[in-house]
Amino acid sequence: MKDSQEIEVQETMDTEVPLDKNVRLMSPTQMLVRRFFRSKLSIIGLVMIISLFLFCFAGPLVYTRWSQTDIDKSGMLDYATSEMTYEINGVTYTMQQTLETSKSDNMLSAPSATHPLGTDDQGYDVLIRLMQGGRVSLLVSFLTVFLLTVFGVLMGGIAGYFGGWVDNVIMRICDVLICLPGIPILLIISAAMDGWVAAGMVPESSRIYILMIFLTFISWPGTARLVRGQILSLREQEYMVAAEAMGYSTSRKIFKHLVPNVMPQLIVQMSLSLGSMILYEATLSYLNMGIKAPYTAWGTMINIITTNPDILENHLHVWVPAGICIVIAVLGFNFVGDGLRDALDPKARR
Amino acid sequence: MVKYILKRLGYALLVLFGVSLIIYFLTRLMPIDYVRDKVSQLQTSGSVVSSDMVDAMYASYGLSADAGFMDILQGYFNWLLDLLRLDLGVSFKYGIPVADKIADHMGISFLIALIATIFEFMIAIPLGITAATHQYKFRDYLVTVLVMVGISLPAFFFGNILKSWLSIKLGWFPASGLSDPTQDLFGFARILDYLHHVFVPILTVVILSIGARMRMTRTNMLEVMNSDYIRTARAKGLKEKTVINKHAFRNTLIPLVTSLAGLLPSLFSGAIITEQVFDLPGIGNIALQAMNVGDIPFIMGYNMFLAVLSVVGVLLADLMYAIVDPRVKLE
Amino acid sequence: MKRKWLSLILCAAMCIGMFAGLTGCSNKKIDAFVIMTEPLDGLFNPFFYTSAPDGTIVAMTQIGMLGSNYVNGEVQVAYGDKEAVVVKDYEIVENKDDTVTYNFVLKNGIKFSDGHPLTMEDVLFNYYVYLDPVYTGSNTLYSTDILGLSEYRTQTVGSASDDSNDLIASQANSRANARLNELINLFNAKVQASATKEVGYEAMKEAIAAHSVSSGYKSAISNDADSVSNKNLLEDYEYALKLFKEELESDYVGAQESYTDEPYKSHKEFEDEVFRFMYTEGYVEVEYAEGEDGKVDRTVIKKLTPSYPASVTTKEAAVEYVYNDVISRQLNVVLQYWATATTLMTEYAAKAKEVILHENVSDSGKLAVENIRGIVSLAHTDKAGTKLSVNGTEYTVASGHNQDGTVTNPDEYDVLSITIDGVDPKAIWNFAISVAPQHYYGEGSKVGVDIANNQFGVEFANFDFMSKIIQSPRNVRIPMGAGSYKATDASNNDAPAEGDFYKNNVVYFKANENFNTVASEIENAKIDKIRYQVVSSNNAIAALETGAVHYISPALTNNNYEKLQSMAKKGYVTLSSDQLGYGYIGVNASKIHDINLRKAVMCAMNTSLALDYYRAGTADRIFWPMSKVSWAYPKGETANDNGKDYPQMGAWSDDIARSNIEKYMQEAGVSAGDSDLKITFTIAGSTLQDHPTYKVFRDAAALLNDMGWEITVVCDPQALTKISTGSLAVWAAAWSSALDPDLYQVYHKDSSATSTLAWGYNYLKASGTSEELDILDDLSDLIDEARETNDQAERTELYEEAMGYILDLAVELPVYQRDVLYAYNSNVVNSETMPQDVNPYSSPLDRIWELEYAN
Repeated sequence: MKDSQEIEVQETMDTEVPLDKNVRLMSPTQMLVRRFFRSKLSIIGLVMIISLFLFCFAGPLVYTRWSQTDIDKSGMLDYATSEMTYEINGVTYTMQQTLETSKSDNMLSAPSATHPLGTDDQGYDVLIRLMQGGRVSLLVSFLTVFLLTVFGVLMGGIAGYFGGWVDNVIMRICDVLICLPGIPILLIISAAMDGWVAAGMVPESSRIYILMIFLTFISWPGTARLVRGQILSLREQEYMVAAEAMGYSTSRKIFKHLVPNVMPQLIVQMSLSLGSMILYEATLSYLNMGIKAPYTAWGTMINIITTNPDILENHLHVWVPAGICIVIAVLGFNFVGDGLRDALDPKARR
Repeated sequence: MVKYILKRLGYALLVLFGVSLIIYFLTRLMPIDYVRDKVSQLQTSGSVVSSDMVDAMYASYGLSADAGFMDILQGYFNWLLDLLRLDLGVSFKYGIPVADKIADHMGISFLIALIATIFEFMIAIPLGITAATHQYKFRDYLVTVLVMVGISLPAFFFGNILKSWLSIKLGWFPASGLSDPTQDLFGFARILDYLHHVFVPILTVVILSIGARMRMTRTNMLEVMNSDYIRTARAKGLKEKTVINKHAFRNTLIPLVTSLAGLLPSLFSGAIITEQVFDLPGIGNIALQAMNVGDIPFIMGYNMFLAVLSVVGVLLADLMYAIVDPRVKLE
Repeated sequence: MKRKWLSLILCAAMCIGMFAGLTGCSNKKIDAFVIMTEPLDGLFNPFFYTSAPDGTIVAMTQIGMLGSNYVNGEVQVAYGDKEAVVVKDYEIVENKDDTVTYNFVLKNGIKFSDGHPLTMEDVLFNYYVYLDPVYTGSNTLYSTDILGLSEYRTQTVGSASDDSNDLIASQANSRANARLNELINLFNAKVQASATKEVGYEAMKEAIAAHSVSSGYKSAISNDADSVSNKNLLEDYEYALKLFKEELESDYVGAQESYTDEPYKSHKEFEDEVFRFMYTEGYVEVEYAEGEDGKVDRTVIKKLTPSYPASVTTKEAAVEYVYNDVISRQLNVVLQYWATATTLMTEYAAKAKEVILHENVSDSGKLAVENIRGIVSLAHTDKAGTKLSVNGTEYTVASGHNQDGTVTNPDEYDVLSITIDGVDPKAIWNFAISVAPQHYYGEGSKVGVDIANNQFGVEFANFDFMSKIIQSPRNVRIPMGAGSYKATDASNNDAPAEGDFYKNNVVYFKANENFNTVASEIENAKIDKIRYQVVSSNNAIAALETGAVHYISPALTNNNYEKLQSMAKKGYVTLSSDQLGYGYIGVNASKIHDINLRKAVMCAMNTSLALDYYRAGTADRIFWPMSKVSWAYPKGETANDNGKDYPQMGAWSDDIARSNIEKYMQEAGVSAGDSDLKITFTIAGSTLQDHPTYKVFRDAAALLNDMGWEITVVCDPQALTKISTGSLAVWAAAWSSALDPDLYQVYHKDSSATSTLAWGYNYLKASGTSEELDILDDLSDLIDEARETNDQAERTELYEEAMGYILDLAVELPVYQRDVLYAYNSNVVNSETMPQDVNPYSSPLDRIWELEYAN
């Protein structure tokens, strides 16, 4: 009778589902994605960013009526009214005189069929400028943040890993760069570029890119410090000891083991910096160091309200769209960054 | 501890030396030349300027027409020697000693920055804690969105919007300036007048800076809330309020304290854009004007002042970190 | 959640607390009249202020020698008892020797705001500061051709006394010799002591370092013996070596030209470059043939033996070899007989002369040239006490002065007499300087005031005097003078502390109670307290509307004008007048050589587009390069028709422009795509589009590019500097005109002003075509003629012709003339006391002491 009992038990065991098929195994990336989409804000943020990108990069391919440097020369009429008083035989007469003049360009016209968002104070079509300007704004911030991160990771990784005098030197360089005032340096580079552009060595449209690249070179210390701090604490972990024992090369240890563990914080910082870079471009153009005419970016488009209070109050179609785009972009990047950080947090609830 | 401070001070001096050298060279290499600009201004108003006069002008400012590398180095050492005698030189543009000019305008910038920072902390931290403790609920979303809008717009934009709405359309506050010169005011009335004038600028600065502070608080709070000792505290049966306010909040302070390092220079540097928009006689705007014309003594004096503050700030933050967090050891 | 409630309460408190300031907002009493000013630098010194807003602040406290009035379209000199000026009466006298004398009768009894009297001492003090050789402020009085001015400034005695000149020259030569001998003697001593009879570079440097220079050497270099050391000797040595090397190199080049005839031609060695050079320097032994009479015949060379190493085969090696050889063995010869020696002697003599002249100063405190010959106080000459006829009235020149500088007899007057060389219609305006107090601005000067002994309170050629005494911290921060207002602080103290006059962007003034001493018909200011508030131009109208300021001069943009018109009903009065100046487009002849190409560029410009920037009716096009406001601007038919192809009159026609451009392109012989057609248009400023001429450039560039040119439009914040060095090809800027329309400075071919570099005059004078040179000559002749007469009708005709030539030269295209705007709140200030009409030469606040409050 023993054999049949054994056989029975075995059959029952065979019909149960094995453990590893009970629990759904997900790769880290899949977990990340799931946690990311759990927050509604993150989804909204992602949608915002994707639609902005489509708008800026695919839009001009569809909306071809105007190019960003086309000036609408259909002309506009301008009226000037003045009052004059005369006194004849003791009676005062007031006369109103209206002067009709015509200006050659169609400036500041309200939204219409030919111009969905109207025209600005120089006669450009606002909608196409919004799209083309968006390209520049988004491109510039991505470029800067990417360069910033790459360089910061490199320097921070080396400093954190090697320690000793290498760390010391790199940290002192960081200190010097942090103390350097940003605005004078940008002023100097901007003035130098005025000279280069005038001499024809650098095309005007590349100016903003070059400026932002210089900005990167003085902003990487922040990232480097972050990476270094993380690496200092990760360096002593057991898996690093194991990697050492396995005899891996230095660069493999740094870049394949340490850096990926820093990635969560880095990704968050990158996505948050993207937002602030767009704002930085706006501030630069306010200080007359940014994009110069006839090219434009979002920041430059809202800059107009500081010099022209009339546009601020009476011609909202000129600046409000650009302002909204900036807000959407910055909010979108921030939401995505928050979502990523929450998703990457290993201690969060599943 | 003392050895550590001394060592750091030593490094700080090295850093400051490097920074001053770089700034001086950059400024001298700027294509802006104060004397040449003055000369060309004289000429466009129709005056004759002889080359002897130009040489005399260069000499009186301590510059030279075609400065080579050695001339610039010479100029740098002159500046350094003056600095060791605690003489920051006389500003080209403003005509008075740099130290005096900075002192004239520092007070306002500092006061505005201080008040704004206090309000910023007072408002942002509680909001951040609320958002963290109610993560993913409606309160979290509301606070986050509202505060994010504050940091999504550049300073000049916000300033102008507030100015146009509060000062021009509604007329509740003055549009610009620091005081009302149409009246003779004394004592308490004058102080009230100042407050009346700086309200909108401070409001601008506060709204713009709450966002970053709140998010940082929220992040730190979340990290702390998910840690083991909080779970222990809850398991022990402590009230939720005690858990948050007594245990979580104290540990949130640690990263907050280290961010104070960057605060020190920003309190004194002046908010350039806000001062421009509201015509406040703060140091930020003055410094920007000086930089635009190549006023070398002023640029050097102001930037070295800020550099010293940065270095001191970093040192203080590291020290505070060691004090606040018992796990950190200073080497 | 206590913390949350705390923060909410704080929020609310902040909001509510500030509303306290709202109460009593309207119907507030007005204690002071507030005027808007642009951002100030704070350099409130009448001698050294640089920015115009600073100048306005200073001018509140100052009065000038003369003023200006605009009467019936003419600018007239303002003087006398009705005006707030120092000059009571004046006359211009043309002398027989082609000099012109200006006699100014000064008023008696004027007091500065601190009670000190304003006297001839103050007047001369001001003149001598402005005319000092190290004065580097904005006033260019020194460009007037006053007799004896250049002698005073350079302290070189001219033809007046040749004897002292010769004496100084010979003294300088002997000192220069002493300086040279220092090196020679040292070298000789070292050579004697050396075994190899040579002292190389390093050895010489060591010797110099161990040497202490003699007093003769020191007195050749500087007045301050302590500042001269062997460092100077080392510099001298290095410099001499440098000169010597240069001399050798030019010798090398020179040597190549020689030795082309007999007896050298037949010797193959002379074909080698290096050989020629070495031969010249004496490094080749020559054996001459023997002549018939047994003597050496130098016309035939028998043998040539180089005494330099064969490894020397290149120019560099050769020069180096000779250089090293000579300086180590024959430095003394170099310093005495080579060309280097002559150069060194000339330079050393010039330096020694400087030292000697300065010694003359420190010896007895007296200068070589003690005063400016052309500026004389008649009361301190033999004319004291005599009668002088000025402008039809007889005045008695003062015979005696009191201790404080005032005249003893109040019926007598001080007379200032200035003589210039030749007729200069602009000079009278140059003399109209402001008179600042000597006891205030010259306080601490080592030189006292004693006119009879040529002491004017000014330390001659002394930078420290200018920067530490005239620009002492108090003198920079607080201006003082005899003007209608004086400096005070927020509490209206009479003697404000230095930092309180300009504080927190507000400048404080109160009425000067001594102002009525400036003229018998003038009273003290009626408004007691005036403030200037710094407001940036963006905020100007908002500030006026909210009552923060009562008077503004805003930028003349479309929006501002409209806004002000709409505020007119609430009692805000707007005044406007033409601006004294005009906008133009410049074309540089040294960048665009062909005159036809320049004309083509001008034909492409549609100048009516510049008016788009301004409100309709507030700007005009002009057709002549002069401000429309000036009396010399052509009137009548030719006002809008200058007879040239540009700028187009009437409505713009693209076709006419194109045909003109093609015509000029053909005459220049260029076609589409030529490299000559690549030009940059520059806008002066930091923003491209916010400039009136931007559209003109933009459309011109589009038109020209369509015709095969390559035009780029850029903006440049450094443009003004570049214009003055002549580095821009085509640019847009604006002039602000002077009171006199004299064209000499800017357009005359002999003008030394660097303004002519902008047009490319240096190129035209060197390589211009005969057509261009003729135009230049004719233009200059006309300008000279116009300067020689004071008759306005005559000058107008001459200027019209001259401007025609300027247009022909195609270097300047006049574009627009605009208005300036002023606005004030008539509810605060009585509009009847404000001038009813404003002219381009003055602002409504010129007679600020006459303003009254409205109620």
